[in-house]
Amino acid sequence: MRIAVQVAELRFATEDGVLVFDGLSFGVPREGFVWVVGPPGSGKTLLLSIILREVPPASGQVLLLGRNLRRLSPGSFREIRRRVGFVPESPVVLEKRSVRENLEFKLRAMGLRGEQADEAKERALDLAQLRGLEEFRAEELDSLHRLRLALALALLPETGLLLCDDPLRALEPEEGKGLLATMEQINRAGVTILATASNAAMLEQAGFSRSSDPNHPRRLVFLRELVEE
Amino acid sequence: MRSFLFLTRDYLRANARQAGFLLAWVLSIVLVLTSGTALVVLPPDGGGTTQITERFLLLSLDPLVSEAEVARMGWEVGGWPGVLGVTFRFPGEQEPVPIESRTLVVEIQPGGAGDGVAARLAGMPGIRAITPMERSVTRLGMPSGARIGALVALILSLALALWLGFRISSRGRRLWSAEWAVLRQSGLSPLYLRGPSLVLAFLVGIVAAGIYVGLLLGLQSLGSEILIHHVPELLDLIPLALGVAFPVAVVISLLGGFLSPHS
Repeated sequence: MRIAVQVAELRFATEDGVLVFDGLSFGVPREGFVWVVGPPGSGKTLLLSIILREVPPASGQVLLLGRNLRRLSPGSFREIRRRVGFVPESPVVLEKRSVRENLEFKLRAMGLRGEQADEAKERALDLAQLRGLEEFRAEELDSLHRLRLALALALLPETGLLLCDDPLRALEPEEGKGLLATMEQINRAGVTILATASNAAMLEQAGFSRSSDPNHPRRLVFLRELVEE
Repeated sequence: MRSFLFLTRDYLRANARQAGFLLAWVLSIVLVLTSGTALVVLPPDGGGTTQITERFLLLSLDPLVSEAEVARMGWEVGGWPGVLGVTFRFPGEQEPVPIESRTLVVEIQPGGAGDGVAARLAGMPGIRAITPMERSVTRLGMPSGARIGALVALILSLALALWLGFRISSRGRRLWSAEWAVLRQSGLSPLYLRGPSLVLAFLVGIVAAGIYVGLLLGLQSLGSEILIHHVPELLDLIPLALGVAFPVAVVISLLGGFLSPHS
């Protein structure tokens, strides 16, 4: 099975010498949907920052869509980065612009126009379940739909891998289920998802299970146990 | 390139909300250029209105003399002792007198120092006639504090221009902070995203220099008589000022833009 993200023997220490990761290893198969679960402060956000090459690890390897991050030139990394969507812990959307204008802004900023841009926009609207809300301004949306808009933005322009940092954190249980359904739909469309969460309960109810098989497509892994994996 | 133009246009549109500050930024740079010019042009000694005598030799040139030859001649004569300056005039120009044919205007020192120049010129080929002329010029009586005033204005306006640049760029970043964050999440580099704010600073510099040049040319065409009699140095300075205004204004505006925080 092809791997979308492979983290091997990752080691990271803070400036104060606190060892956050020491030999961390795990993988996410292509078209898989993996949750990394850990309590606040366990390094979930840091892990995603390392995968996005925003923070360098002390040692270890990260393979992103089959390419070793350490060996990628800035130009090659930019090419790969275009195919990786990211939803941070506090997602930002353009409050004063409509849902449609939000998506068009990102598409045009990434250099896409015309038919190709229209197709990408329609796909993002469908996958993020934002149909019927195209003309609503972002500031008029509730928390769930704002997160869906953040997901739609992250899907543009040609995302094959989606990284989400604790997207369920600020949602009510019902909203969380709604967002999870949206993420499932995105995953079914062929987008690999690596997300983090502080609590595994809702995810276990949704059918995600702990597995030691690195090729398991719907896997729930716990950050504290990853070092030993 | 197309995406950068789109981002720049979007950033400029967001900054339309601080149009008043942008106008103040432009005017502060115009003030820097104007006070800098005044500092150079105003006589250093100050004092009251004075009457001075200027002496010229007008060299009417042979039509067969090439432009390269005229330039070489001007360069050579300009280095002679007793010569203050040499300028070429086309027919129709008005300074220092109405010119009827291609003429080299040689300004010589008043008194005896310039007396030998006419004799040396008489032996040069390509000169049809040498016409000496003198004129009396009234120099504007500048109070001695005028230069100090210009210096103070220069320092204050420069400080104002840099502060406004910093403030506008910082506020511009706040007005565009959500867009900045969305684009950073998409992996675009901070350096690339800084581009639109630098384009805005560049445009401010260009507009400021344009206004300054317009003022200078307007002054030259509308008030040349007054300028000739009161601040003749300004006329000599205009070509230099036109050349220097754009780079100086752009450097000041970009400096203001660079001072703003990166994120």
